[in-house]
Amino acid sequence: MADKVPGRAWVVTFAGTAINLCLGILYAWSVWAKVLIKEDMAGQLMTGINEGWPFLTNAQAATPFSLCVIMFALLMIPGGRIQDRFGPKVGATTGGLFLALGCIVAGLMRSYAGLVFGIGILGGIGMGIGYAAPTPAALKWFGPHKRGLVAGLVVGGYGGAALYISPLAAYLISSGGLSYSFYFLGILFAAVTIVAGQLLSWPPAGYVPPAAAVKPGAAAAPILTKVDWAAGDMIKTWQFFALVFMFIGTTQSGLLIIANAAGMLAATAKGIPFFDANAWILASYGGLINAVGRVGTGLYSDKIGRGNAYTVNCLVSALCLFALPSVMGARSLFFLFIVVGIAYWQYGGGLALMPAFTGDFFGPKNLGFNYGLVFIGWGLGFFMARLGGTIKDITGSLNWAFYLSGLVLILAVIVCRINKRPSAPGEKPVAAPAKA
Amino acid sequence: MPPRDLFPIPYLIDPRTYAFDDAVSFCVAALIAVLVNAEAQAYVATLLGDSRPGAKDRLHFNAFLHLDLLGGLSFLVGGVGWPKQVHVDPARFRHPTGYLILSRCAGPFANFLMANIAASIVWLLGAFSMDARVFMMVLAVNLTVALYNLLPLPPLAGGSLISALLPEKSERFRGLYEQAGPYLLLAVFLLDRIIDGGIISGRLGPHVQRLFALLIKP
Repeated sequence: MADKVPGRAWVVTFAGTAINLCLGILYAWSVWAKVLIKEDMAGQLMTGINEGWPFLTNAQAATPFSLCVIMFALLMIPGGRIQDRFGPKVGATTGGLFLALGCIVAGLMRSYAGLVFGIGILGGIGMGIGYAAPTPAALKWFGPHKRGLVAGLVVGGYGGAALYISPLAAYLISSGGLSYSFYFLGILFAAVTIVAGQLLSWPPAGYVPPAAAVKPGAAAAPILTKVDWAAGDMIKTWQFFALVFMFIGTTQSGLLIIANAAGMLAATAKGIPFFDANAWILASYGGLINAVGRVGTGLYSDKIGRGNAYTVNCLVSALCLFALPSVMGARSLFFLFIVVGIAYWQYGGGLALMPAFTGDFFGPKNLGFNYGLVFIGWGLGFFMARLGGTIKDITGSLNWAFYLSGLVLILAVIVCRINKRPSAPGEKPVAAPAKA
Repeated sequence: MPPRDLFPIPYLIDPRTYAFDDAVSFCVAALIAVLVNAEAQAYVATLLGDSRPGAKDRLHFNAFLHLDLLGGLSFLVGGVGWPKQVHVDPARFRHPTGYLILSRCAGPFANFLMANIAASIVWLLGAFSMDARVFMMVLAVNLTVALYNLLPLPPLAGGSLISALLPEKSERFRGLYEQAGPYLLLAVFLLDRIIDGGIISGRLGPHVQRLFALLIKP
């Protein structure tokens, strides 16, 4: 078999998944928030097993979460540096230890300040440093034809964390109290990341990842670059701006649907006894689909090509956008589940596809920097999503926002279809692949 | 408990209005502002022709490496600051003066964009009925940095503009101007603080607040 990778490669991949399963604690924040929030008693101390903890307002409970997200984003690239210099073991272990320390500090301090510092700052640092380690380490073991799947598997662990941490945390809080839940998870995370971190490793020097088996008659993959582009050259190509636009497309549509339909889904499901009893389904639905979407999109993008995977995701999502006015008008629970699910899938899939696109177009060596620049599209996508609010003010309904967003998405698909990898400076132009 | 008041804009760490969570958010927001400002300058300089693959001071997206001692101190004193100087070599540009000004002005422009993104996140979290005070702080700090960059002292963009427009022969004055700039800024912010906003924050502050109100409204 041509694409046999050593067993060690899969060990690294799943060790990475395990680490991300620990780091994804952020998705379960709502479980703690539910216990902590009590608007009318905010500032007073709890009694019983949570003695010493104060009640928080809604706004206060959001602060550790928001800080954690920002610290995560800020530390991700310095985290990449740490792993480039000292290797993935050090990166993952440091990250896990920071997160564990944060949990324990939060548990010991039993206060709002403790949550801000422990979860917001220390937790965010830990996640950022830790998150940067496993994915590149695992990717180095595999050839380009497996990149999508492997990245999806490792990154998916982060989203999958919502699945088990929410119920686990809820159980720990009800049986031992808030501090106990933080101690328990802190020690668990430290143990898992240290053990799994030791399993991470780079391939030995001179290792060549097995290439895809080339079927006789099929064109050899011309979509991959052999040149490692520097960021300075990359931003002069139109393909770079096309990638940014494609990123805007996936982000804005996903967020627009999620922001408008997820709230309605929650409101519609309220009062149905099944969902009242199993609130975790709603809480973790988005996170789960988001995670599965990353793995799934990565998997089929390896098979049918990134451009095709992007096209499929986005066209289905565009259909949802055009159908959204009637779905929201009917308040149909079933369709709301489907539409929100597709949006999460597509949004997560975009986050898995764009780094793979960037790697294919501009080479793996400077992927960190280059992807950082492409990531600007993600930020601008937020901006687009907000335009929906403005359109609602002008026209009195969101329908036109959905239609407009659907059109932008279709435009992004067209851009994706004509976007082919640029030929590097000094490289001979890529011969057009024979029509297969 | 009555809803909490918004923090003062421009935000200053001040014993009279001190709150732990706001102070922490402010520090994090300052890191973002510094990162965005510096990377945008490097980005536009690269785009306009000064591309230096492998240069250590640009496009590394590490906020901590962009921190400047005086610029960071200035965040604590005056609520705004600046990153470590991003080295731009005008000789590599087709239009040295014009492109230099463009790349310096990219800093505050990017801060303004970042403020818009933060406002969008505030709006998005609002759809989930979440109070996004931290992102409001990111919005406020970035707006403040963007607007205060009009001040005509280097290393702020306004100062770089004047410095770039100085005639060729005033090389010595330019050097002095650029060296003294950060210290002068810090001194002005300190004085401003002592006399309670009489010099700068009393004049620029209301504009920042007005823009903040504009962006935060859907």
